[in-house]
Amino acid sequence: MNASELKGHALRQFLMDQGVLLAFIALLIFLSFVAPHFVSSNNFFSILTDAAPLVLLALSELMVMLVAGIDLSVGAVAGLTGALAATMMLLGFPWPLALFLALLAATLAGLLQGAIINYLHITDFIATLAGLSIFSSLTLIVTNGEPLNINDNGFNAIGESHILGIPDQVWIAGLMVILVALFLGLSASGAYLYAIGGNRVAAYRAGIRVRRLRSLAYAFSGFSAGLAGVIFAAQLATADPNAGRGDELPAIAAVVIGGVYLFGGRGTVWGALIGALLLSTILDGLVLLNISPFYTELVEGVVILLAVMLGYLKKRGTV
Amino acid sequence: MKSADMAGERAGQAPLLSLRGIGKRFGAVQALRDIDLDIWPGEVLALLGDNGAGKSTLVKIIAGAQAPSTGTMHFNHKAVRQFDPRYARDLGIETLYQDLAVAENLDVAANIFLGRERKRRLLGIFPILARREMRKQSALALQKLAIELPLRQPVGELSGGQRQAVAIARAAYWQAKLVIMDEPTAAIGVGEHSAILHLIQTLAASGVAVILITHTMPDVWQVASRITVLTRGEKALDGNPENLDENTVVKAMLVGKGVAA
Repeated sequence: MNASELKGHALRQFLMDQGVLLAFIALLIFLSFVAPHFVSSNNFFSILTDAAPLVLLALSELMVMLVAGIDLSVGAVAGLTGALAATMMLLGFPWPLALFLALLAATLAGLLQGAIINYLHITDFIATLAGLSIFSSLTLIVTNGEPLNINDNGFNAIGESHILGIPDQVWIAGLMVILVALFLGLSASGAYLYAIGGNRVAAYRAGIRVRRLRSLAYAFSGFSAGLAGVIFAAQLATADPNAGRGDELPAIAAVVIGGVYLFGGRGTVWGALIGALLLSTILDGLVLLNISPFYTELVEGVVILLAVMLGYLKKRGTV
Repeated sequence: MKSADMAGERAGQAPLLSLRGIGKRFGAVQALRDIDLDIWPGEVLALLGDNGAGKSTLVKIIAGAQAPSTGTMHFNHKAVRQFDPRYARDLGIETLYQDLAVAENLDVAANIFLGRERKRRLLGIFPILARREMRKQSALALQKLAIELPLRQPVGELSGGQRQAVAIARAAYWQAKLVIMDEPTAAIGVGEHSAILHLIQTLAASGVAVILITHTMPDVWQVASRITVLTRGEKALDGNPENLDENTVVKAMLVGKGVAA
């Protein structure tokens, strides 16, 4: 390949990569025309606030997909985290302690699955499917199947208050996005995640501790899913036993839309973020346009297919 | 024995790698039996043998990917007791596998430095990757071997020969003392074939010992300074290519011990 070919390749790559961003902007413009409430009723942050939990779940999936894994348990872990936090607050724990312990539990849930996958060699899909079952059931056991009210104003503020005019939820998701971007872009461990996803055996032979890093990716996935669960609970001032149920699919869809490669080694935080924003806004748009919720998953499915086909064309176009 | 004669020829110089009585058993299968082998710096040892003869098992032991069931290994005057790829690499043993030497989604510099990244401190605190420095060093390393490669392109978009060149540059940059190459010319075109052979010679001329696994007989006589044949897990032949012809070698591969060299 000569230099000019390379340049064209980079330009096309950029346009393809930003295709999702362009789609997102087009969607915003479209919605502001057809749904008057979309712009007027809320400020710019309402889009971001709605998207915050999905962004966090997308970060979970990004991290495990980079190492050629998948995590089906993120929704269940989110639900369990909210339930645990609420239960502990009902038992009289101060909210920061309850928050810390619940997030610790979420991280351990992820780490446990990661260890099972990488040290006992159980397929990611099966191990986290089992996790999905187990954590959903634990949530029902902990909550006794009833929504738990959260009366602690300190905790509920996470879903209501603002810092410098920006909602707390947006701060949380935004900081996580920045931290993950810095980690993946600058640190050696971040580079190792890409190496593992690209060629696991080569990474191992280069002395990278593959199993440990892959397990830690799952621990991160649990942690980030736990944060999403905290936001769910704080938004409603309630730990709903069904919170997070089924949210693994939109999370996976978001990163796939954002160009994260399902089989590892390729994908960016930027892509995952834009994918999550686009999907979240589409789902909001359906509500604004008064479209029956029966169509929600249909639209989700079509968007996933379109995104994957775009990715396929991208691959065929460049290789 | 032959290896003893070879040692005699190099009187005064200790071998870089020295194997004694290496055996490996997988359940009921004896993959390797009582292998003695010495390798000196600057040597290109062609390791030959039919499929299943034990070449890759032997190489995996040397590279630390597997531990032997019996026997001892000395490298650079020291007994090796730990069989771990990371440890072997720290000793100066680099292995270039046929397909798996590189991460296809990373660029050339990232591959050369994979697992041993250069870092700098951000704000004096946070250790971060020194990408520019690594790219510069990679360019120098490639220049030294007279290899021309696009540095920023994912290695997966390079040709087979270019990938091999990346892997060889990686070994050279890290001053490997022993480089093991598994079929380095198997998946590459004719044009690149001779370039890779030339790179092997450049590497050996700089004092690196090379173990070359190959099925391509003409390559052996072109670059090897020694031929070792494994047959059914045993060393069947060990000699100088000048004193051997293809017939003898092939016979040793098929029949095993007892073929007069």
